[in-house]
Amino acid sequence: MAVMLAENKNYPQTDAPNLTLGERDAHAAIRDVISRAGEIILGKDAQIRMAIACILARGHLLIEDVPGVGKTTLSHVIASLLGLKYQRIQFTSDLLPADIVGVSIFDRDSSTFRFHSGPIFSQVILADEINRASPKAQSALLEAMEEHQVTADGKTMSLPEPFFVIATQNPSHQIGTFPLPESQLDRFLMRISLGYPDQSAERALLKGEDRREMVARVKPAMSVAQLVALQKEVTEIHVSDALVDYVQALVTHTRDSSHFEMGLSPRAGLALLRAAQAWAMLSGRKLVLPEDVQTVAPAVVGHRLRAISNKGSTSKSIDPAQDLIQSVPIP
Amino acid sequence: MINSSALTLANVTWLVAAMGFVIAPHVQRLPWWASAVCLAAGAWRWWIARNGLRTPGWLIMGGIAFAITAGAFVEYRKLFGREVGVMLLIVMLCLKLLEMRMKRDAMVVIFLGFFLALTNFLYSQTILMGAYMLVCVWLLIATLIGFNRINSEPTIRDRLAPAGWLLLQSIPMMIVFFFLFPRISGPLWSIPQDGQARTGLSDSMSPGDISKLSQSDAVAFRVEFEGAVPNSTDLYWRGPVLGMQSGRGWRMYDSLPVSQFKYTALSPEVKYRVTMQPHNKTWLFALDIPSSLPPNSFLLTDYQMRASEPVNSLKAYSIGSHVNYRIDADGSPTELQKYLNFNSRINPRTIAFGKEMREKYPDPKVLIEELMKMYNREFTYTLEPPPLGDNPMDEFLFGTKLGFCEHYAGSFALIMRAAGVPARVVTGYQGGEVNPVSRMLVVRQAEAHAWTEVWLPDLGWLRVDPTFAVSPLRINRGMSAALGPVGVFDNMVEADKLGILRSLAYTWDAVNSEWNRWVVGFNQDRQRGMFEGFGIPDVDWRTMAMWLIGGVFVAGGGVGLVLLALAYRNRKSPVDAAFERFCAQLARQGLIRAKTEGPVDFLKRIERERPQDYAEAKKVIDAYVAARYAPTASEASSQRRFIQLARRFRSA
Repeated sequence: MAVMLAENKNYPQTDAPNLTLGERDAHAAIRDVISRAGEIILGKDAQIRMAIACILARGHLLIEDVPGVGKTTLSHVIASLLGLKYQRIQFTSDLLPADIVGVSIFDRDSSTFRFHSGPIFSQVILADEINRASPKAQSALLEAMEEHQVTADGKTMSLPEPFFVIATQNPSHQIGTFPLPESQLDRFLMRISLGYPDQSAERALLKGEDRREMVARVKPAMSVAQLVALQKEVTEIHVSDALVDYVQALVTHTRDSSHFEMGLSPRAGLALLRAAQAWAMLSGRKLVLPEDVQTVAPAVVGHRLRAISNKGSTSKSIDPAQDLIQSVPIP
Repeated sequence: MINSSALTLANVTWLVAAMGFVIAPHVQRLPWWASAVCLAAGAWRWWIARNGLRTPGWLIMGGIAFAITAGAFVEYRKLFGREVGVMLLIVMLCLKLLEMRMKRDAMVVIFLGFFLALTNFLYSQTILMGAYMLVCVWLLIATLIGFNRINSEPTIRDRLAPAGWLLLQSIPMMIVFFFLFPRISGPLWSIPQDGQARTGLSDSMSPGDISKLSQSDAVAFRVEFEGAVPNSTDLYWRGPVLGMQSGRGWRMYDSLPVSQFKYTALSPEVKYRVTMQPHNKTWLFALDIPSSLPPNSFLLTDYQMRASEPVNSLKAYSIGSHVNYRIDADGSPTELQKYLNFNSRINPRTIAFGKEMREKYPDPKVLIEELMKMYNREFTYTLEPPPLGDNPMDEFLFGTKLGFCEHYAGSFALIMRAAGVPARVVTGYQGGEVNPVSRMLVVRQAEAHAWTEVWLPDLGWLRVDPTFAVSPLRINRGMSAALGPVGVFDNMVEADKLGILRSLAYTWDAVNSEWNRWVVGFNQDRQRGMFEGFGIPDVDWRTMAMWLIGGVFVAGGGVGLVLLALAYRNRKSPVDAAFERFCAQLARQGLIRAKTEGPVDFLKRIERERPQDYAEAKKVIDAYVAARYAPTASEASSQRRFIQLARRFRSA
């Protein structure tokens, strides 16, 4: 199911003058990241902002869409622009956990087993077509996502920081897919979809340069230190009691309502708040508004909620996230 | 402002459904074509709302309305009266559905719906009907709520919950009106010519009448004895006395009221109180034979007790009786002569048989005994006797020999008259069932009975019950013992080994009787009694009106105080209240903030839709955001600033 993002909300940046000079640089850098990504991925500014917000909130990102709309390109561009060390893992049905985590090989010189670390030991993992792999391989990655560490040969190894996964997947009704179970979907902070470009963007794309070359030329727009600082700043964006009331009302509603198969978990509530903070910061504010929660909600709760399908109703299926926002008044 | 957008599919569906609920109990009384018109109008209206069609024009509506009126006149031969009035109200209201174009029309329909709900009480005042009408009113209020929502479609819960809450709030007012609204003696709606048929005894009897009644388990009356309940063989509830033999059956003579009682009591007086279900006839029932009369009633020469007006609402009276008595021992020959007449052209064999028997047994007492033996020997008691032809008694006595009480009483009285003994048929009820919960005797239509009285010199009118000879069980143990299960109580017995259903049925009957006594039976007398209890002996309508007004103030004020207290407990914070005032200002200009719309989104909409208010609104909303969502050193001051701005805000 496609999660359509709400229109890009450019709030009046009234609070910007409050920022200190160092912060200004980081903020300018992240704006630069967004605009430069937009030059490559045409007409998808809202999705790019959402993806950046996801990373600022220290969340893993899942991009779901049909093949060929630029999922992989987007993940490459983001990883490159943020100046992070990244590895791409192409998930296939015969991928083994060792292909991700690494493997111990007997070293004849020292007569010991030596661990050859796999691609997981990287700051960004681009997990392409994650739902093509078997559940066994999926879980190897997903465990790393949650724990930020991997275990191989009885040894537990920490992963580098920052660490996050940008996974792409095809809609699960396509052939040869293993749909991710709810518990694993829950590990992704956001799930977004790109959708087809509009007329003018498509035209520019057709006439323009080869995207692959453009991606290869991308230079980092900010440092890792700046990214970490911004991630820290996200947690400091002010959340008032009134806003917590709202998030709580949303979560409670999913548990009481008969529209959803299962209510949101406390982790989902936390994710909603964190993502809203990141979005508020991207919008240049030091406080979270209910509108921020509403904007990020489709991406944050869309893959965590499943609407109970009303048998007999022929009406178009309602996006559960929109349904949720439309039925909970702002307290 | 005209707002036809209120007639949404959901609202119309609710309205049509609520009207259906209100009308449903009337359907059994409506002519079939009227029900069909109502159904068609409701369905048509719903279809119009569903597909956004136009309502029919005035020419069509006028034509239909004229046809309905003409139909009503053909059906009832009049246009005034309860039946036809209610029918016209129902059908025209359904047609009004088709005329709804604006919200105002819907309001008219709903308010008339409340009135229509009330008309159900003209026919039934039972607990179940009361509860059902409460549901109808609830649905109507819920419908009303839907029509008054401006910007959102309420869910079922959004309709029913506030409607139920409103109903709850009205309870104190309802109690005040129940006790203090002046009662009028006799029901308002007792329009004499409207006496509709109800189950019960009538002023004539031909074979088959009472056996039909025996199928009905409807309660005829309930009796509360002051002492012990008399033996079942003494429980003869005297009703219409049929002295005239006419054609196939028996009818009542036009008798005159007696000025004074003439009887010789042979047993002590039994005192009791009867609560009678309405039957639209004037007769009252008392144990044979009444020793006193309730108010507004009189006794006829044949000891029938009559009320001065038809009993068309629940009637209660206290009365005494002697179950052993002697009446008219000195009957005058001219008076007795009319109890010897018979039509000699019908039932010739019976008449010949009577004359023959008299010759065989000159002593009437022996004659009666011999006849009883004959009944006992040769006849069978049954609820489903075979149909009889032109000479019914001949066919019964010498052919089928299967009969019900009216066969036995009718044939016996005819034989006695042919034999030269004055005789008459008495109808009424025999027996009754004691409800162990309420300790009341419940007499049902199934217990309808007919017996005879013969006049013997020195003894006067003597009760002879030939049914007793045929089936002693009927008299000793009641209908069900003689014929198997009849009423509700007994139908349950078979499946009800533990007796739970039976005790439930008894409890339900006891509840009904309490309802009848305290709620339905709260009449003018009881109301006056209540005022006497307050120390106001002869209450006049002015005093009552003052009390009513006072009561309304007390009840309304009480409810108001409770609501205020609840509102105070759930009061909004001053910031929320100020923001709501601000939104209300803009709502008046048609810009309504959705409950799920955040403040900044709302501000953007203000900029788009009401640019003239944008500058001021921006100040208010910035302050609101600062007060509610921003980190502040002094929460109180930012809140105060917002409240000030919100107060000052006036939409341009």
